[in-house]
Amino acid sequence: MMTNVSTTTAQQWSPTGILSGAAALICLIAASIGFSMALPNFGSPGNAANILLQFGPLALLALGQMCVILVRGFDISVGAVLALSSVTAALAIEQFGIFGLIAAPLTGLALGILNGILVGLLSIPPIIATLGMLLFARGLALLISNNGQVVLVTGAPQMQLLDFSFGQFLSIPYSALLTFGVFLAVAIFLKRMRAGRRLFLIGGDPEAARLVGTPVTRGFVLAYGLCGALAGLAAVLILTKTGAGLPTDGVGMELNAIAAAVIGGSLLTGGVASPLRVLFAALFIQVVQSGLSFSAVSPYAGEVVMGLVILIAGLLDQITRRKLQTITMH
Amino acid sequence: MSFRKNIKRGSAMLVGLLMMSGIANSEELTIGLSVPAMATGFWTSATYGVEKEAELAGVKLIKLDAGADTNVAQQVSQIGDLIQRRVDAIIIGATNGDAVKPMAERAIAAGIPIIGFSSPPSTDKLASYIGADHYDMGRLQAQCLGTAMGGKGKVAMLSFIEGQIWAEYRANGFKETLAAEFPDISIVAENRLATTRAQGITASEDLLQRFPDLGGFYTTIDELAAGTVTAIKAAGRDDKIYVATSNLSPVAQQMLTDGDLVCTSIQKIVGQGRSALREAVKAAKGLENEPAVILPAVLVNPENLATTDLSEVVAPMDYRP
Repeated sequence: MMTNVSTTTAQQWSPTGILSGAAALICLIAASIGFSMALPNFGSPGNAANILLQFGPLALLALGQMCVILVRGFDISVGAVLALSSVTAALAIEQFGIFGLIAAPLTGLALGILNGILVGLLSIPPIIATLGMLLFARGLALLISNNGQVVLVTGAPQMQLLDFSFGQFLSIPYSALLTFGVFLAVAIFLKRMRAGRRLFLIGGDPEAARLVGTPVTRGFVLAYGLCGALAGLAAVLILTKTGAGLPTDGVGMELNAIAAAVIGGSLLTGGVASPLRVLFAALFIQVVQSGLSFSAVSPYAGEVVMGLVILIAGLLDQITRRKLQTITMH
Repeated sequence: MSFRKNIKRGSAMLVGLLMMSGIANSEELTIGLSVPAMATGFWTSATYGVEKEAELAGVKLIKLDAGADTNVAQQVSQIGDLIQRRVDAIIIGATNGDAVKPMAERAIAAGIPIIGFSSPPSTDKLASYIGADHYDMGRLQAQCLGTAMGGKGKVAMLSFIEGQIWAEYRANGFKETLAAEFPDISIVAENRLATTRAQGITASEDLLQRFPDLGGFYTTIDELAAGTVTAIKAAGRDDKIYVATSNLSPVAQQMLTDGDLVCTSIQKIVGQGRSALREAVKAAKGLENEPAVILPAVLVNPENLATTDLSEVVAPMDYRP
């Protein structure tokens, strides 16, 4: 089984390995060109900035999913964790000013670590552990927000939040720069740092990893903690966009995030992760959503299209992967 | 061709298209419609009204559905799309007026007028506001219930949860009219927790136990009335207690036909949709807007149900947004 681990890691760096995840990029380019040709103003620089402004939360959630899928898990609590984090941060900002924003990633980190302990230490299956967390976080968000009313940030902090959301550097929204920065940091952590590289080992074969003395439980806590913290960061972006904590928001976001992670080349069997491809996949989903908003199709038909698009992208990923496997075998 | 060349070619095309598409432009007006939950009764009928009027006016309509009353972030993103699409005006029924306000004001700053629809963004810069006279809906309920009860007895209210402006208006219209026109009728209880049919049943059961001599129920929406009627029938009291409500879903139509409801006061939802589109077109053309278009309420009872014109009230059963 150790060979399995080493091939996966080797594949990460081989030219074919890089190409095998090209499905997300191909989809992104095709969707961008297709919508730009079909829809007026879609391809405008303004809309490019608009899509970059929108894709942050989904991208960060997908990045988090990638981390837990890497260790053979997944986390369905991220939408609820995002909602709770936005509420705690909104309440903290009302108390302590704009620096209260830090409460969002901290809340996410704390709940993520808890998920990691449930899965890694207590061996509860991820679906049960994170479903419990989903209900817990959603309920808590409703409780501390006066029965689900939005928690509005008022006064100067509200303007600071919105200024950040609408601010740009070289036509790139700050929120997108933040997202890119986080992706870069996670990529460096996973590929260059020992604790990050261990996650590939654990995902490739947890038993083998344990046998060679890898701290597997710590790895789980790390992966889930990262996933939670990223959900908290996604909450920061939503706070900057709306100036409010949204206790009822984020329902279903976890599934879009898992879809983006899988289109981005993550294998549900663990051991594989590429932040760059996940970034492309999240951008792709946002481009399609924006394209559907631009075109005057019925919203219901739009959902059908979105479902088909995710299926096709997943299929394309499988096909490129299989093709390359046969190539490398010969 | 190598993969890398392919990518280069693709990105070159992308850049070219980005530049080209900036030039494309059409004469036709495009109006955006952003609503919280298109699949719910109110927004289905509202969307129908907007769409029909758009066909009449010959303007293009882009309908966006946030998917649920709770999906604030999704709605904010969709309004962002409409701004980039450079639509000529946007009609917004907000998931949450306060949270949607920043993006709505951004649209206005970009020169796109906003029409507030029923639940407007909380900004004072709206081109126009379209809504129903909810106070009047409460007033009509009071008059029909008071008359049915012969001007005396005890009433309980299912007034919906706190913080919903339209529900406040309906309840106030009911209370003030009852006090002014039927002084011998007293309101003995007001429930502020129930919002669904199941909760309406429980709340009504409790009220029937606590006040055995109740003569009537005020209910804010027809779903609550359905719960109340179920509770009254289960208690075997359906010959002595009158139930009034607002809204006219198929369930409410059935209850009227069966004589379970004494009346329902309704808003012209389709008519509001039509007005919203008309104001949006005016705003898009730079014409002067009505600051507010408030459509009057209509009373429907078992006698006039068959003859009431519902074309301005609900979308046809087979309509899908």
